[in-house]
Amino acid sequence: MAIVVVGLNHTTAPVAVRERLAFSEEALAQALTHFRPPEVQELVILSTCNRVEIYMQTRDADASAASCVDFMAACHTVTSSQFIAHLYQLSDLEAVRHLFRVAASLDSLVLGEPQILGQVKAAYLAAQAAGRTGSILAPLFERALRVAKTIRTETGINDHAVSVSYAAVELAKKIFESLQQRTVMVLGAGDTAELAARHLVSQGIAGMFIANRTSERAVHLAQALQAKAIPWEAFPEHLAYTDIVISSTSAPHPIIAPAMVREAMRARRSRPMFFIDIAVPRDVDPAVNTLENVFLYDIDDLQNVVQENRRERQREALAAEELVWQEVRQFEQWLAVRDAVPTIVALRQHAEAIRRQEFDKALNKFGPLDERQRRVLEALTCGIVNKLLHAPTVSLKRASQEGQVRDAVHMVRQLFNLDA
Amino acid sequence: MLHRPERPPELRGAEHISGMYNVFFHVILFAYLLASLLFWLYMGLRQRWIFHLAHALLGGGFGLQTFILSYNLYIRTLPLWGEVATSLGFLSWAIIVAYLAAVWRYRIEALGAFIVPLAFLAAASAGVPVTTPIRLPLAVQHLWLGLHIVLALLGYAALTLMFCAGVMYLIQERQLKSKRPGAWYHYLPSLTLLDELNAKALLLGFPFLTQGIVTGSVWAKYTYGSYLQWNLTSLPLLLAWFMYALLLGGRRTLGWQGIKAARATVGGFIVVLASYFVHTL
Repeated sequence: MAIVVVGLNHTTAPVAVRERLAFSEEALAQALTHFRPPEVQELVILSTCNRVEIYMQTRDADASAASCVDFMAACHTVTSSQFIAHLYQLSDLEAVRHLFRVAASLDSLVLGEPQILGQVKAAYLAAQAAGRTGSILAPLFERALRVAKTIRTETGINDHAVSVSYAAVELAKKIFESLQQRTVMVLGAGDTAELAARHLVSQGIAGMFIANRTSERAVHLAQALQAKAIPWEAFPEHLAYTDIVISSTSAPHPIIAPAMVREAMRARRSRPMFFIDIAVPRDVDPAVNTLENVFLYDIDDLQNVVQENRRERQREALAAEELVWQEVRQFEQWLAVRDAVPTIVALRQHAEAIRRQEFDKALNKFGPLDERQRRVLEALTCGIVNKLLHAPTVSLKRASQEGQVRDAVHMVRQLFNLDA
Repeated sequence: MLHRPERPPELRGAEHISGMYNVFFHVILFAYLLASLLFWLYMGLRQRWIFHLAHALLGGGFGLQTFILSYNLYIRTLPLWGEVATSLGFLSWAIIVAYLAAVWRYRIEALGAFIVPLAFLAAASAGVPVTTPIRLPLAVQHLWLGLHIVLALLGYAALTLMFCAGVMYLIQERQLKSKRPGAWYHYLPSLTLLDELNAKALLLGFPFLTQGIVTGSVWAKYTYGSYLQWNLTSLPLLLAWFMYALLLGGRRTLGWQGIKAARATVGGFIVVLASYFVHTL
């Protein structure tokens, strides 16, 4: 009886290997139905762009790992030698911890990225739908999802933006709270400007102006983003109506000077403005940042924020790892109790059945006995059974507290032939 | 912080310290102090349970204080209650009310670390609880005194809230301007939200303070026969009122948004506080 995970991820395997072994949605459903080696009792397959992992509840860890390798090779028509070096195999608590870390995005390429939780959940639901989860993997995955949610709320692991455009949106939110009533102006119609603009559009901004030196491109981009194209010369007077400016023109010198912004600020009665200057060379004069209620971030500033956020996530990850350990220990307890109690009960029932059988046999041989004699005989047999069983019962309970219940249960079940 | 005018003869009398109040008062003080420390600890460690524990303590202290204040209002009439309430830390109670309202409305987690220590200081400076015996005769006009005290203190509580919002604004603004956002950046809310909190507290606090001054003047007129007499001795209150008026005017007509409003609030609060200390010396 063991929980086993066999798989590979972005740290152990290059994308060339991962892409060949990934399961599409249909392939996953097929695999869940067809992968049925006799020793595997429960099965969940997790397949994302960064990892392929097969979680099993099995009677024989090594045999099922071998079956896994054969199955993956057969499924994707590759030879096992092409990927076997990239595989890892973890058992029992190591496997439990691994799943908890995966679900909480502690094992992700981008630490704390939010998609993995949904992917783990989808994998679990698919396995459940295929009827492949049971008394171990179902509680395990339920718990993994809960742990991930706890980590998300208790730690700040996915609080901080780790890409430049998200960092810009996050900064904008620290200035404006919500972007819903805000107006954005995009200067330049290049790809980077478009990407940043799309991020802001997805935040539900109120309106967007686009100005470019060649107006066809501005009109084109404006159509794509449902924005308003304005003539290049008109952008300074639109500053007064703009809360956020994204600038990425190829101008060799700054196009936005402090005087221009000061005038706009007067017109807008000092309501805050946020300039995101992603152009190199820069479009906005750095002195603009010294104006009251005006905030200017150039591409280096944004990169620094991203760097700092990465470090922040690393710090939060330490707290998350601690939570994972706590949860692993709790799951261990749960497993231990779950394993020990039925064995103790089975052992007692087994002994009682033997005692009763032998007692009845003896009664038949004695012939009629009076009540007192009968009771003495009963007490004698019960006493022998209880005294004999006392030590194994105590050992089992102790083993379950010390976390070595598996071996003990296995031993007791074999010694007393309880599984027959 | 409130100016307490000299008591008229009929309100003067044997003051005694009630042992029961003394115990309660120290429990409240301790709860606010501990809650303040926990709010700071939460900022550093960011463990949710610390935040909840701080609120539990704050809620406990606040509940006890509310009970004592309402019990006193029940056994006394408003004029006397106003007098007693100041010694029972009515200002700290009003500050906590302002905090709870702001948290309920804006969900600013960081606010507690700023405003609860001030509530603690307000309670601590209220000193030993002194109760005035009820058997004193009461003149009807002293209703104005009670109203004056309560309204002015509510105005001060709103001012304290504005001050905290202003300090938080200045810190967050520095974080954003420096382009090296640190722990404060993540912990504090957005500038717009803090500015809005400042503006809302201003709108709520100004009428309280204005009415506090009006009721105080009326009371002075009854007691000393002059409005001016009272005015000369309540410098902090007048300064606070002018500061409110200036801010309100600045916001309405001059477009004092964000940093200007925050600076003016923080500066004004410090001036009012300083004038109070100078005044009481």
